[in-house]
Amino acid sequence: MNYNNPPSPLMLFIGTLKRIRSVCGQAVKLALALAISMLTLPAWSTLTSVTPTQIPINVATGGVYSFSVIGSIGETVSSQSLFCSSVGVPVPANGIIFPAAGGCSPSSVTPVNPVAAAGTLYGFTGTITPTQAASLLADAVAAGQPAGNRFMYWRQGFGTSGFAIVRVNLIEPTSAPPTLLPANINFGNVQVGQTSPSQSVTFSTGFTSTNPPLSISHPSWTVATSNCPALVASNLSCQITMTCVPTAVGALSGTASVTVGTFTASSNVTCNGVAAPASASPTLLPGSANFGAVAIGAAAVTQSFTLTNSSATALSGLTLSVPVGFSQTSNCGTLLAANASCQINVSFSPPAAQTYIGDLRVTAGAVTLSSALSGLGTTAPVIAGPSTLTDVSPKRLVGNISSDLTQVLTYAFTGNTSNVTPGEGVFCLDLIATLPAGNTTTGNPCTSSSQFARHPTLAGSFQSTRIGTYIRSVRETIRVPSAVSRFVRESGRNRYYFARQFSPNQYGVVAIELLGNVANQPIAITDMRMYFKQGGEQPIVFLKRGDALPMIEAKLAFTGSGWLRGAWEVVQPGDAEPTESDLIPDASLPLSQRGLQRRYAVVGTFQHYQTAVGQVTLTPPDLSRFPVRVDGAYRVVLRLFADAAIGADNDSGFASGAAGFALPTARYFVGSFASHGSTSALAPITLSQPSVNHKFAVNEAVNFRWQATPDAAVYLLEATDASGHLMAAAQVPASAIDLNAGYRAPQPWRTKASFGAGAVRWRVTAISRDGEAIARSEWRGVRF
Amino acid sequence: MTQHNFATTTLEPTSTLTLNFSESAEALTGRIAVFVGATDVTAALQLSGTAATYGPSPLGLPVGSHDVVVMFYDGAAWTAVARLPLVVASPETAGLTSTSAATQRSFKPKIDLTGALGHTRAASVGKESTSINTHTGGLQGSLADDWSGDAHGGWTLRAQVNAAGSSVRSQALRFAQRASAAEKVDLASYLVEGNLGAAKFGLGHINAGSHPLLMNGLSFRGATLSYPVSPQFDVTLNAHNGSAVVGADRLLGVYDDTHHFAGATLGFEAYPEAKGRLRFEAAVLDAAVARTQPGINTSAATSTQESAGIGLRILAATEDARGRFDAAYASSQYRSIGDGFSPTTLAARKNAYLFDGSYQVVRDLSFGERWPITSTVTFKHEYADPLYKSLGAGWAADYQQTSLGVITSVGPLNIQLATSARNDNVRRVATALVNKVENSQFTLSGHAAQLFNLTPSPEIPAINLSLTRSHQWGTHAPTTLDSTLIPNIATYAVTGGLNWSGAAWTFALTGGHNKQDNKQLGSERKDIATTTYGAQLGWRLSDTSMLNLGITPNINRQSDTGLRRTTWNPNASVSWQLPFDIALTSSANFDRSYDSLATTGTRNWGFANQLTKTFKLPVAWGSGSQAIQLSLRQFVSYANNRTLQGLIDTQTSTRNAGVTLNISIALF
Repeated sequence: MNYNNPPSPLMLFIGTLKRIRSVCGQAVKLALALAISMLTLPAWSTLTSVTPTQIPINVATGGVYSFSVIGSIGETVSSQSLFCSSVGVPVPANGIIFPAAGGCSPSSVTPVNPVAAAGTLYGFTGTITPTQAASLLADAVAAGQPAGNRFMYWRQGFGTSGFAIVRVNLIEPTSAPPTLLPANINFGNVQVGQTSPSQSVTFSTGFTSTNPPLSISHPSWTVATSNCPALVASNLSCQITMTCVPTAVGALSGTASVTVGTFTASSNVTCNGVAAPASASPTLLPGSANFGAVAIGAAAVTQSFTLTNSSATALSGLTLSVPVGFSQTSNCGTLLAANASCQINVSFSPPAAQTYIGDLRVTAGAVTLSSALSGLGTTAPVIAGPSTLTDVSPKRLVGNISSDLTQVLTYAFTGNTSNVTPGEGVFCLDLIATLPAGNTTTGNPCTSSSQFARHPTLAGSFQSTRIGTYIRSVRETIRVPSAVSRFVRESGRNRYYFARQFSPNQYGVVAIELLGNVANQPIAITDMRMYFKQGGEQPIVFLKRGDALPMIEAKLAFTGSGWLRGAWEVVQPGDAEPTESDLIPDASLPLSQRGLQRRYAVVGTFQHYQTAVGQVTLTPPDLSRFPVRVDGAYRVVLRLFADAAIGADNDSGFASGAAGFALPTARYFVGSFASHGSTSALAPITLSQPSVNHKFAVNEAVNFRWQATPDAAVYLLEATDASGHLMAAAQVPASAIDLNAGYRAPQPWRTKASFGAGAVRWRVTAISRDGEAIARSEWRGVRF
Repeated sequence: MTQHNFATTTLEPTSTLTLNFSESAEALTGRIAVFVGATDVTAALQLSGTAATYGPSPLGLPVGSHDVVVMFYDGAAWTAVARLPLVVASPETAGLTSTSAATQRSFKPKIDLTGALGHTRAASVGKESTSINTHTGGLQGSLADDWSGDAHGGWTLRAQVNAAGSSVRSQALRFAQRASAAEKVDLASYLVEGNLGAAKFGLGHINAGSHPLLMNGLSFRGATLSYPVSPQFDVTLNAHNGSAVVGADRLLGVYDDTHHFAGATLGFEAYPEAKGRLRFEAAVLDAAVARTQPGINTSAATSTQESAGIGLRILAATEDARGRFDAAYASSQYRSIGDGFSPTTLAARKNAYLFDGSYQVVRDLSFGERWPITSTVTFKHEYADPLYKSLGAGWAADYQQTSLGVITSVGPLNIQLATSARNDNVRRVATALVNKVENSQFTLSGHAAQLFNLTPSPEIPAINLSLTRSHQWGTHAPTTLDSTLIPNIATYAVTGGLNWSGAAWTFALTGGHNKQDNKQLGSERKDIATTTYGAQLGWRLSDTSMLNLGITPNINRQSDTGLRRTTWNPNASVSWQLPFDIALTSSANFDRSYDSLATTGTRNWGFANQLTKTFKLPVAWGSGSQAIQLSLRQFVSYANNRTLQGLIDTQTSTRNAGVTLNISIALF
């Protein structure tokens, strides 16, 4: 405003009106704001609850507290923070009371309340010191509160809204104060600079302290270690181990103490420092050690040596060495203090069968110490102690009266022996006593009157599994004659026992129940024979080279059900002959020996699922794969693979296909003498028609065609069934061969050939004018 | 057919058969068929006028008694117009009864010898660290003698002896039985057989016994004698060793009363002119087997036993060959004789029987040109008492089984349905389970080209499919038996394959899945599933070489453990006949199995290669042209086997290499 030029009255009036309008506008705006505030703000602020409403505080150690107060916005924390022995009114469940509701009998202790940022949630955290806790307890006692239930209220004010009440329960020790025992420790005379033998004191307490932690103090001339935890648990007992390390001659005394909160337990510690004696040389004892005879691969034999530094100065730069065959470990490190000692463990594990000698050598600068070592490595098993039969598996078998029973049994051993000797195997009806766990006994478990048969004890039927040289299990495949089961049934019994002895007088026992040929057992071979179908069942046949091998069959009797898998193999001239162990089925061998058998040329494989019908006849899938062109002796081997077993014994792994004997073989010899006259190998004939496994339609012409052979006078066409039985044949003069038609079979021939299943195989042989076979085709399948 | 030339004459193998017809034989071409036994000789007939002659043929007539059957086709069907008995004897005896009364005798020994000398080097790593140098010599010999005479209506005698030996005792025939006491050269087998008039006899490795429940196909060393008492009755006696044996000791087979078979069979042909149409047999057997006498090709007997029994059998066939029937019954008394290892059991007489029959119920029933139906029904029922046993027959005891099957061809399709039910514990012994097995199977096979009326070609495969269901479970459980031990397993399997076939090759794809569903209480999750695949190729690369490739992987899963086991096994082989009689054979195999937890596994691989060369040195001595043959064989093989079982890892490798020279000499 310019006072040099006063406004006109009109201008003043207009200005007044503007000011009034502005003031009114502001008032209206304020009123609108207030109205809006009234509509949008909550009701007048209040406290809602406190959580938790009770806090435990150990009066011996103090403790931390933490609680939260929940209220409405706008509430403020007042300075009215008091510990009260009472608040004048009952404290409601939410821990909130109002100013008019009661008073306070204040404690001498005032809470320290580091309040979190204001808001709807107020957090109070902090620490009540042991001293404060002790004062609170004193106030509670003064207020007449009974022991064991003493407390104080933390009354926290909040503006005009009220108080948050937190009950602080004062936890008093329920047992005696902590102790440190013994109260006096005397290390006696200790050479200056040396470390005394250790002594321990035990700290015990009956209370718990989550805070503050336990602290230990001890004199500076002692070295202390402890297994005490930082935070004290109830009924704690821990040790503090101390040694005295005097630095000067003279008596020393002090106090070792353990402090937890306001509690302290202490012991007096004394020690007398004495002067060091004259210097002594370090020693390595014993001066020699003989480790004896140890088998190669056996567990190492260990002996201990002590290196003592009796001198006044430390041994530094320690190095240890042992000769070949020995190894060492020690706690010596590279520095051995004066008047200290350490231990060296030397182990002997010979890599070869020979004598080992040498020195354990300790070098520290110019100092060299040694002890003589000697030992003998052996290949022979070393019987270092008795074996113990601990278990037999399985413990229950199922048999039937119709067939033998084959079962793989595994005997488990402990002890450090490398040799277990099987003894007798007996069958009995009754046991002297109930079998213990593991089904093993000391002494024959059978009643003498009920023993009725024995099982052969054949060295080859036992296989052992070792760890190192020590036997851990022995595996046996037993073969129980059907006569044994028949005898049991005739005796009116349904259960009997097999007991196998191991020297000197330990027995493993299995129970056998006659339940029939049950399906949930692994396949076990009880009997077998192998033969050629040539004028009956021939174990040995002689072939003219090039002749087809007669049908070969393996007839197996078995119990159980499951997969039967295996292979046909041929041992050829020049191959190493199979031993008995090479002919044992996989499932009868320990796992570790299943890959060690000799294997031969595979000429066919098979896998059949067998139901529990007891017997099966196996034939190779293709006879033409058997070698027949080189003179010499051949052997046919049936290989049975172990397979998974179904049923209750599934857990036993691949156990199906076991046999209690080496599988028999059949042999054939190829030479020039099986047929009369000819010594030449048969040339092949290629078959043209019909194709492999062709199915002739009913009205289809049955024509056979093949490659012509020079010098052939007549062809012989043969059709056999799967077992080699001749169904039909035809003679076709070579001159009559129409290469476009071959042999056209009339209906009667077809009827003969197709009688039965209708599936046959056929081949053609070329015959010379002299009646000699000069060429032959392979077999081919055909159906009618 | 009006006449023939062998009504009353015993012919030689080189004799000629003559058949006379009422009309021109040439006019009968295509309308007659002549069978000698099972052999169609029509194509070899020489037709002239009204006569048809056969022979002499390079093959010769088959020695023995046969039927010559003349079939005639009338435009609608084939019928047998003549069935003529034919007896053919060895050349030395044939015709003697009718042409000469003088005594004749011939002795034609024949000896073949072969020997093998070789050098073999074998090395094995893992199992043993040794090298083996082996020089082997082999000897295989055969002696065949033919004797004959004319006394008592003519007789023949044939003998054949086979022996084998080796300079290495472990290759001796009886090394498994006698170890170091085994003879290096040993008698493998021998057979002396012949006839004296109508009686036939055999000594050595004979085959006898035709009763399935009592005495079935005994092929042990022994003696047999058969004689046709009349056209209707025949009798056979046989005696054998208790097991298959080799060697010169126990030469006759029957050596003591604790290890033998002795039997007799009396046969009656109701229609002697049509043998086999209806035949009755009665048999008796006395047998004993000693535990201490294992056979050469069998597992050793586990106890000393003896049995004696009788058996009856009826065999029948319809005249049109559409049906056949076989019924057998046996009663056998068996006991085990205590020998310290096995106990003595009661001598119990028990029974067994079976019925077995089939009939072609539908023959060529036509539903259109391409879909004629032929169907055969088969039925079989078997029963054996508890404790039934005859040592002469591998017959299980204490079970009964009924099987029913239908084999049907519908056009090019071959369909088979089969079902069987079996149980043991036929007398319901209360302390034992009744174990039941039910099997059902459906198979289908055919060629796609015929099935879909396509022109056959190598690209169109043959098809086969098989579905099988088995159920095995226990019932009538003893009250004391824990129910979690009672088996209950259902098995489902499906397999199939496709087969292609060309002029020089075959290829097959196969697949299958088998699920063993364990329903046993408490073991319901112990199931096993197995899936198999396969591919196989056979390829004739040329007239002189053949290649085979194959692989049949399979996967085995165990539900309860989650364990999965996989197997791969590819293999390959090639054979090649080179010029100058050199043959090359090579093969390689690889086999690897492993499980999903890497706890068990095997890996085997190897290869083998051999080269053979044959020399022939013509010489002549004795009765004719003979030869010395030399076969040189060089071979090398390598095998590597590795097995992981838990923490145990085993590895072996073996290598064999060698050269063998085989000498074959035919004497006389």
